[in-house]
Amino acid sequence: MTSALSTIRHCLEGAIPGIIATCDREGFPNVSYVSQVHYVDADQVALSFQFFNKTRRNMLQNPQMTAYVMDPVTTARYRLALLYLRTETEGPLFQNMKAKLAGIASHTGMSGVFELKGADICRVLEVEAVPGAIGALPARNNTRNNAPRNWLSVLRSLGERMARQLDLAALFEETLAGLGEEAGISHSMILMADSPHAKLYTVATQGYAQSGVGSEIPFGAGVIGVAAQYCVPIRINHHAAEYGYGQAVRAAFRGDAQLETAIPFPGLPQPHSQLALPVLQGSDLLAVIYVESDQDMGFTYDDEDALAVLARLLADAIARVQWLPDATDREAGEPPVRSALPVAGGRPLQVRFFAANQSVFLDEEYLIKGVAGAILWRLLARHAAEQRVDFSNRELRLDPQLKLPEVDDNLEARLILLRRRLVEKTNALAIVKTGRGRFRLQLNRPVQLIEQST
Amino acid sequence: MECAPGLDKLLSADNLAFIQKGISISVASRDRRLVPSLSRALACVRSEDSTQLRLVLVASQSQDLLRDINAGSAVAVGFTEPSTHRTLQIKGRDARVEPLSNLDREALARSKKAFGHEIGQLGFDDAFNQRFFHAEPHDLVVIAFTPEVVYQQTPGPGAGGVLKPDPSGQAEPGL
Repeated sequence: MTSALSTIRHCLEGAIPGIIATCDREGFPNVSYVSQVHYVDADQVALSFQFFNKTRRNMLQNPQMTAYVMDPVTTARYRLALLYLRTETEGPLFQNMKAKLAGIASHTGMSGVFELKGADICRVLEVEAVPGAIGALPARNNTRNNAPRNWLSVLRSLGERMARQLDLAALFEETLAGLGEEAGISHSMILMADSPHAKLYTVATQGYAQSGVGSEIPFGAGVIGVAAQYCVPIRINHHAAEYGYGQAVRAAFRGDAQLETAIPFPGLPQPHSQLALPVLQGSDLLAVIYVESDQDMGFTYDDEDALAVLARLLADAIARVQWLPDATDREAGEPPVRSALPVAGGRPLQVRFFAANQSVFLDEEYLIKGVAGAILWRLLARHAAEQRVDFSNRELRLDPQLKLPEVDDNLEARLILLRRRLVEKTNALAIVKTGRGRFRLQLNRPVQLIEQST
Repeated sequence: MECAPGLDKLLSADNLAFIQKGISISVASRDRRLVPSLSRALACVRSEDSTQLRLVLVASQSQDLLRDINAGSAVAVGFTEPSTHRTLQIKGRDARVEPLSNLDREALARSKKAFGHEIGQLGFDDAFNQRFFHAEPHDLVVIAFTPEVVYQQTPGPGAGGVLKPDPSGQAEPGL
């Protein structure tokens, strides 16, 4: 009996290592274990090449191989007729397998021994179901991590929820809330890409004590950074220290003074399952969706497929929201206020701006730096000079002092970040949305602006 | 007839016990076109005269392998302890398919119990082990062969080395 490769992917998670049989030119067979028989697509798998061994020598002499894999839940067994095609030693597939292997190695006490040298790509000529006793699969359940989720119904509902959102902030929040409510994924975040600076900044999170909005991750660091750098989903189903935020990012911090280090990354201290997916527009990286769990084997191939579809929905929704026209004065609801609203009294809030890294401190407490810091400083300066409180995204884009790039400035995402940081850090100052592409600077205390040149 | 050298010339007492204790066993051969065949064995026991290893397999799960063994192809057998990754591979050229003896059946029962305990440590329940070992009695066969070479295959620097037992009985990785 033959089966489709895509239907036996749960045998390819590494819970039970695969067995590989090869044969040399003289006709002597060889048998060995392989840590990963990785699903590439409906017709191909990749074997983890970790050691220069007899399997490898045979494979290069005689590309015909047979693999034996087993379902760790049902005991179903399958034989795969394989034909070795080529080895990849870099790139998305390699990075994907390298991360997964790190999780397997850590789980099996083989960290430092298991190291990926290459991804040996094989065509799958046949999948043979080996006869034998087979147990039942667990029922689908959207609220438990180890039961398969009913993703079609989840995606249908999530897609509808996302389609109703008219601005980026609401879109991000609804996406993550939906993941929690519909799919039982309770720890998630969205990070926007800042490709010119090879880093990501957190714009929305769900399920953490501290939101961590504004925290940054350099490309290449941890599961999230590797997913961004190679534009490939990265999934690890066991705790792997080298892909944890701490170890991966600490090294990067030392080399980049501009990286946001004052806002702690909100992730779980020791995630046992991690999945990061690129959100792409064409080949451009817009963002990364990240989910994690404190359980082993938290995310399956099916979960990865579903979240890849979600990433596609999110990319389209981001594009749609960004192209919505800014609200007209009439649509904006409240009439614009051209002169300053009466400011409540009280002790002035000291706003200190360091031009070198565009960082802003409120009463000596750090708020934010970079583009978001520059925007806040510019708004406060214009408020001081012109007594204005109402602003539009458009005028910020055109403001020569801010020097935002003409296209793809991610202004809306920067404003989400700034708005959120203000909510978290002070009652004295807020940015309130008054319509699409419009917002109001709300001052609840007088402010004193201090610019530091060094 | 030439006298077989005996298993204890090739395997240390420790390794001989290791491969019979109820661990993961995979068996490979190949057909005339050098396409590998592969199956799992459920138990391993030394022959009564201690010259051969006898592997118990489920015939219906191992059709290609049995065909190749019957055609006279060589055999490669991997032994792995899942909890430690300790691995040996043993190869031979005289493999034959035979019916089970009472000693084979006893070995199978021992292996089932020990393997259940071994994978139980890794989170697999007894039902998994029962299914893994499930077979109709008439569907069981033995592959018997004389080991010629033993390889140390535990992942790490010494993997792939040929093992030769030294006089003290401690096996060391060969060159």
